[in-house]
Amino acid sequence: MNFNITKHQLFHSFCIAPKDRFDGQNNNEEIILKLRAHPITQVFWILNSFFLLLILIVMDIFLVSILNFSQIVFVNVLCLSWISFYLLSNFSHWYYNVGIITNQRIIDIDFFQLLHKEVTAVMLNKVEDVTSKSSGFLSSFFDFGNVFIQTAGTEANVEFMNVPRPAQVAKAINDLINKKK
Amino acid sequence: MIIDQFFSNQQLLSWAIKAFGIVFALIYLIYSIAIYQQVKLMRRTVGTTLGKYLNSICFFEIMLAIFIFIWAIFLL
Repeated sequence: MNFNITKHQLFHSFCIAPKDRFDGQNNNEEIILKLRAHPITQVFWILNSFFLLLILIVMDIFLVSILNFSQIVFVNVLCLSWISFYLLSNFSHWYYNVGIITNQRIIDIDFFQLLHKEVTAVMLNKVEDVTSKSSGFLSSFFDFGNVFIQTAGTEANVEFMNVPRPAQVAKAINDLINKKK
Repeated sequence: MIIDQFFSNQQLLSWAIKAFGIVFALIYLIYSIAIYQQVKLMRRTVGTTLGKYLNSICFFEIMLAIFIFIWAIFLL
């Protein structure tokens, strides 16, 4: 795979040489891969919101006989705002949980709950072992899995969870390490 | 029986929706501000093209929460 031409694949979950910048990026540092969780792993909350929308429509049929028009509109706005917030929080959670591989280091950016951020960075020359794991029907069918990057000594290990094409990611990291040596 | 009485009493029902709306709007406002700050923070960490649109949507959510609050207090 050519890592020099900019490509955004699988709904921006597998970005090759993106032009984006990140906090603390050095002047001569270039992003080679930017990874997010595979879109298929996000299907559950999308389906959930459709299901909630369906419940709202069914609920409206019963509400007509109980509430007046302005009250029905108000209840609908409440429910729709709740669904939109649910969608927004899940989307931003997916969108900002990224793994970045540059020509110098590997960075894992996670945010778990509201206002909790964790950034782990590992220099390429500190990487000891790269393992890709994919198990189960869905991960085999859609080609996604976990990539574990082990480092020497007390350095933090990095994990990219449910990323697309884990074998390619592991190969890209190994190629970069070999290039560095 | 009590539920039937509750649903047939329009004034009581109106007050219940109003109270629920106010509490909901306040919680919604707090969470919207929190997610707005979070997106702002993450935009600084990872600069992406979609970030500013996400921030605008979060801002819209805050405005919506304020609108629901005002609606629940004055209009309902």
